[in-house]
Amino acid sequence: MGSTFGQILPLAVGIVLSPLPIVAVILMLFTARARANSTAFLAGWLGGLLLVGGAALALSDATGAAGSDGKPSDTSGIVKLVLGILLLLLAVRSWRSRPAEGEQPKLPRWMNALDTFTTTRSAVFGALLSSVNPKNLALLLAAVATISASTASGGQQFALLVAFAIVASLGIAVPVVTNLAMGARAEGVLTPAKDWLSRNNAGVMAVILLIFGAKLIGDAISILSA
Amino acid sequence: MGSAFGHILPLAVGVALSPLAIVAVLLMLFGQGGRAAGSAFLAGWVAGLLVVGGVALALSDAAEAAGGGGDESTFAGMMKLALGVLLLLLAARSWRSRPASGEQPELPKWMNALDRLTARKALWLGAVFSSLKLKNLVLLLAAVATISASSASGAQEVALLVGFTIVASLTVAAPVLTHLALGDRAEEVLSPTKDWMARNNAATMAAILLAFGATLIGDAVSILSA
Repeated sequence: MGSTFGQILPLAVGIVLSPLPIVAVILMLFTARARANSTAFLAGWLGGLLLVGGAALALSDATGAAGSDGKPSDTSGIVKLVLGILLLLLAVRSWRSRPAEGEQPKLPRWMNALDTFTTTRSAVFGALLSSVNPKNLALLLAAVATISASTASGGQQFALLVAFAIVASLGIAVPVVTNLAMGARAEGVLTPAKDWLSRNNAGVMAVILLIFGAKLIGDAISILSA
Repeated sequence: MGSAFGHILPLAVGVALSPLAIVAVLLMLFGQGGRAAGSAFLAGWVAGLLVVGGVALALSDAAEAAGGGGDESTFAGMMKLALGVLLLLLAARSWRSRPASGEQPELPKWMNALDRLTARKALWLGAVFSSLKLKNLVLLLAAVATISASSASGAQEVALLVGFTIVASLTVAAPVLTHLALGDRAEEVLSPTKDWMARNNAATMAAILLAFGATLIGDAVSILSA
């Protein structure tokens, strides 16, 4: 089980490295409904990972992705190969869409409407961004493939998914907790971080997608050639 | 052997993702030294990885032979844990030293002299950059630990190191090859890339270091708990 956790830890960090959702939650902290909305966003983020991850895990266990001989099956290798290639394609797209010199990076339109968000809407956006966003979905499915192909029992598999979801939520949890702890003074710390993340979003995303694309393809080679 | 290659592939991509080295080779290609300096830098880059990697591999294999049945995998695990923690510390440093909003990112002073570099100096610089810069050295040593701990034969180990070196050299080779293919027109194509890399160096480095720190710590957890 420890061995499986070691393999999914970097994938969870890949989800932590989500610049735009971190920007979104920091923006949320400076709206009227800061505390309720940001907590709902965090809960939605965590819930999305558990829900989509749990469903994928149940499906994968039902179809018997685990190898009968205790080794990861070819299915988990092929899943990782496809997901790795997908991440590389996303990396190219992210690199090509980087803002030109001096140009203000464009934030998605929904982020301008954050001050009108209800608590429910915040939770739904949290869930969508953590588990339906292509990068995070690919990393979540890769983790599920690893968990499912491991020799862990049903209860252990669930524990691994919970641990994965907790680590993957740290990027969102840190600003929320900072705000709870520091109150109004948090703005001085969080606003520069937010501006920096939105300026560097394209670059950071391109390298993260490239690294995790290479990691999944490497995993796939290891599994398929074993 | 395929399995070991799968494990070292992401590490090679981590070495390839060296924004400052790419900026350096571009400055050389467009400077007085031109193609000769750029090609020498690439040759030095490749040689540095092969020489330092080869020496580390020989040492590691010799230690393994001398240790005779000692618990080598625990050693590989401890080493990866230490290297992973080191990368996380470097990530924190990179994040803290990021340029403030609107501030022009400062390139290290020695880089101003790159456009006048002789081919001989470029060769040395390439070797230092690929194998002695802390991030690259850590990734190279992690790859060597993986290769050495695998069941590959001596010749296969050398082949794995060569494969690692080729992937790790792609991003430095690409500008040199573009320059060979396009001649003077290469400057138009590559110059925006250079400026972008220089501006985004701190952000991309922080993300790269964090991702590989997590990967190595995950590997260590897997090895030590097995």
